[in-house]
Amino acid sequence: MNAVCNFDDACDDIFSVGPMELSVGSLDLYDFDECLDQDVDSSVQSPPVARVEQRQSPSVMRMQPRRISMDSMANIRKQVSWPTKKSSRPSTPCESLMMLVENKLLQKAIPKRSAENLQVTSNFDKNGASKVAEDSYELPSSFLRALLAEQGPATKRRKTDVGCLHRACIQEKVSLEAVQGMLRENLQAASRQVVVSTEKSDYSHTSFSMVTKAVREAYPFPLNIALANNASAAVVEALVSADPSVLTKEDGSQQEASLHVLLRHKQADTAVVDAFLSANPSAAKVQDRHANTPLHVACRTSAPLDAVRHLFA
Amino acid sequence: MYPEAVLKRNFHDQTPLDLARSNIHMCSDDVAHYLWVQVNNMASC
Repeated sequence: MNAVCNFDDACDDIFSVGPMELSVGSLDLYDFDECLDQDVDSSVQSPPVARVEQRQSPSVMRMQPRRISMDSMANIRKQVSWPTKKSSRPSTPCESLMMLVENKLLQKAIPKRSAENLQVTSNFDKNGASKVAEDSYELPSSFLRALLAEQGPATKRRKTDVGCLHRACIQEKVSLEAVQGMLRENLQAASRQVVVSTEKSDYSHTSFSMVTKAVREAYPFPLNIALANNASAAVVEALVSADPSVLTKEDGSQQEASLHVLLRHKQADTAVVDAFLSANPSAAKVQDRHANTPLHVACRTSAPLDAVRHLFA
Repeated sequence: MYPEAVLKRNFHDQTPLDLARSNIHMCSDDVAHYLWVQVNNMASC
């Protein structure tokens, strides 16, 4: 490898500067061969700019972060040969940078679920995606906002069906028709785990003001998201009938099943408990991470006697 | 559906009846009494 500068150090240089000093095009200072050691053809030569910078030590680069306009990003596609697989080939220079960030930075720094978080959010709101990136990944928001602004509609490379159902279930008054329509489009979305985030206002004790933050939802399954957000019984039953096996899957940080979530959040609607147990009788046997059965949760909350009876026998 | 659940203990060594007794402000007397009867039935069997 020809480059003097390590990619990780280089990325630290990029992200250590303030949001106003950030230059997106400064990535062309660094060795793309090292960045894409597995994906890129090794015969591709480094750009001329990179050769000049190789003579400088990393400390010099850290002291003087270069500013290069967004126009220089147009050269990135010419400089890098991408894998032959069509779906993974970027269509815009900015998208290629996005792939660099996702493939090389985020895989190391954050778990996979958070990477999905960015993807889902970018389907709906570019500014929301940059906020998530700022909070979750500790990247400057202007960096990813610039990326997403040039990237264009996220639907070009993302599947819009992933996460739409999850997004809908967050809303408290989601209509049954909307959920049924999404399930008709993609039935497997009911059993897919997708981490989504929503913006919630919270009081910050450091700035003494209300701050809007992107907060990760507690449950990746749409059924449990709907239960936690007090969805109607018809919506819940539609999600259960789409895939009853979700009822026995552990979900969230407490590894709760859907019956735990129902009893904890919905004060145990007896009809919904019946629907759960008739769809999947083994849902009553699932234990959370503290070995609590749904009956434990029912006794801890204000569950009605009928719901307890149905859980028991 | 799962009668054995009434005797199951969690990692804090609590049965559902223990939880019902300790959460009297949340759990109704009917539920606690029902669980007590079921535990006695299971113990007699």
